[in-house]
Amino acid sequence: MGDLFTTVSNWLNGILAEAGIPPEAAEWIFAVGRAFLLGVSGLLLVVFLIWFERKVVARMQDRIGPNRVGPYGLFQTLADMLKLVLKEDMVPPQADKILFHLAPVLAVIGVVGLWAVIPLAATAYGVDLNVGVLYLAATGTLGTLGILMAGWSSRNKFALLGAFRTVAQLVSYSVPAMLAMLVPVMLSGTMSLAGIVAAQDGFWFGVAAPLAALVFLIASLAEVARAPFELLEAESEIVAGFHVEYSGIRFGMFFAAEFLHAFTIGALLAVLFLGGWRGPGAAEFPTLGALYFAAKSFAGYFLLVWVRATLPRIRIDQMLDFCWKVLTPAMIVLIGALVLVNRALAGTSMWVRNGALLGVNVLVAAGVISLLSRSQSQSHAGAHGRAPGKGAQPCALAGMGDEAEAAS
Amino acid sequence: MFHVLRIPRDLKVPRDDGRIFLLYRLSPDRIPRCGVIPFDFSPHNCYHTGHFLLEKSIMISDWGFIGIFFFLAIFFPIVPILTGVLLGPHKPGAVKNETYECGIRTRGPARIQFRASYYLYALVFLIFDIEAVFLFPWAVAHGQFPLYAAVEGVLFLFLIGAGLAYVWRKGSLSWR
Repeated sequence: MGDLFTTVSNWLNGILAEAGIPPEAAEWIFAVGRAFLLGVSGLLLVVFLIWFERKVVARMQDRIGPNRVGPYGLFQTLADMLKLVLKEDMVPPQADKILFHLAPVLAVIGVVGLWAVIPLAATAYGVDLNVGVLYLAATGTLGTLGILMAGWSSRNKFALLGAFRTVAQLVSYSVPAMLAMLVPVMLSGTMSLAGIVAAQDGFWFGVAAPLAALVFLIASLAEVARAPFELLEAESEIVAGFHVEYSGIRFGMFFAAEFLHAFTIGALLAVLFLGGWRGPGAAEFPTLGALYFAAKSFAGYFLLVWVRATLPRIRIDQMLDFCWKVLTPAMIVLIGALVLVNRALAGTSMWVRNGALLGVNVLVAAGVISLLSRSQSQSHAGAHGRAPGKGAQPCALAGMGDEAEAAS
Repeated sequence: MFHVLRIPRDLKVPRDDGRIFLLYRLSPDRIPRCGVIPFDFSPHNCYHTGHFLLEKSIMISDWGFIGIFFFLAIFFPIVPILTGVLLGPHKPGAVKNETYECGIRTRGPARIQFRASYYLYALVFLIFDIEAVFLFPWAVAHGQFPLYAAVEGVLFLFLIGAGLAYVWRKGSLSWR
């Protein structure tokens, strides 16, 4: 019973073999079934995630949250989905039809596609690609493309502004995210996600390189475009951003993709930095490992929800400055130092090596914080002489004015 | 249907032998249940369960599975959208079809010029994106290279960093 996944697959294999299905066909049936199961469970998970997030945020804001439909309001999301499906499906006549229809589909594919490679347990994963991390980086970009398409094709100024911000934000933050993903690849010496999890049997990479884990979390938070980074759909500034013109379940698809993506970030954090399915007894009992993995992913997701409930939205210039002037240089220095230390101490014991890596992380983090506080005190000193104007204005309104002027 | 092989317990395969990766995949928990891999053993036709390798006659390649997955993934969003199109009412109207800008009447075309700052960020991103393609293989292999190769990679990284510093100095990274 320790390995539920292998037991079930062996059992199904036996059934297929007894039914006289040739092994080639059985292999295909298996692959299709696995893909279907992964994708559907991912999308069904969204139903639970939305409920979870609404409940948690409600508690943090001293509210009760959904509690009418079903026990503890569990079926609220189902009711909402039903409502969305029954809403009128509007396609604005001025829209670019092909891109408009394609955008929500791409947004969902870009997120669901990530689950093909994530190892859920020692023996349960869709596929273990030997270039898994690169695959993650590439597939994650599809969602960005979907958002860009939605904004461009809607023929709506607000949607287009949302799309512009997509380019600036999602594209910028994928740089530190990729650099942060480089750290587990470097420490494990493989790009396969199962390999990365396997390499964390002594130390989690999040313990050896906490700064990289933090940068990955922040950059991914920006890539899912959730608070405090939800500039592309900032309600108070640009209506609803890139999905203004979407209604009904089409809008619901963007919504579902966003929620699943946020959870996927939690899962990736677990796989890359928190040891994936690793835990006491997980190697002997893969079923237990799946539980550990789920617990770690939900912990990561809870962190995202917590941040969302806590922090206000940041301005676009702050957002871009933080990416290019703090995270990216810090990651460049960190990776350089980590590689040299890791290479130099290759032969030493695990404790010495990981201790040194941790030391490098702490040093770089301390350097970043001291530089930041110094530049902040400088800019505070300089702020008195500056005329109030652009910097003080809410950025979107300032941007809107400029862009409208440029258009006229 | 299956060809069952018993694996000897004493396993020693050098790490850079392409097959260790396979072994690693078969037993991701690294518990030494596997033994020396038979010489005629191929990565794409076996399953590992406990102490056995079950050799299968054919297996879909990794990317084949990705292909199947993406093909199915297209249907996940399309099915609800089609359901919505079928079930929802459809009553377009001149006012309803207008561009939605919070009730204010739209003025001018929507395809406005965008500011150059966005373009600059995209350009800087492109450099880093290409850099990442070089860095990933290097990060995988840096442990097997001699030390100077690892140092060389770091130099390359700092070269890109110098590019970032240049762009920063030029003011392309400040939002205007």
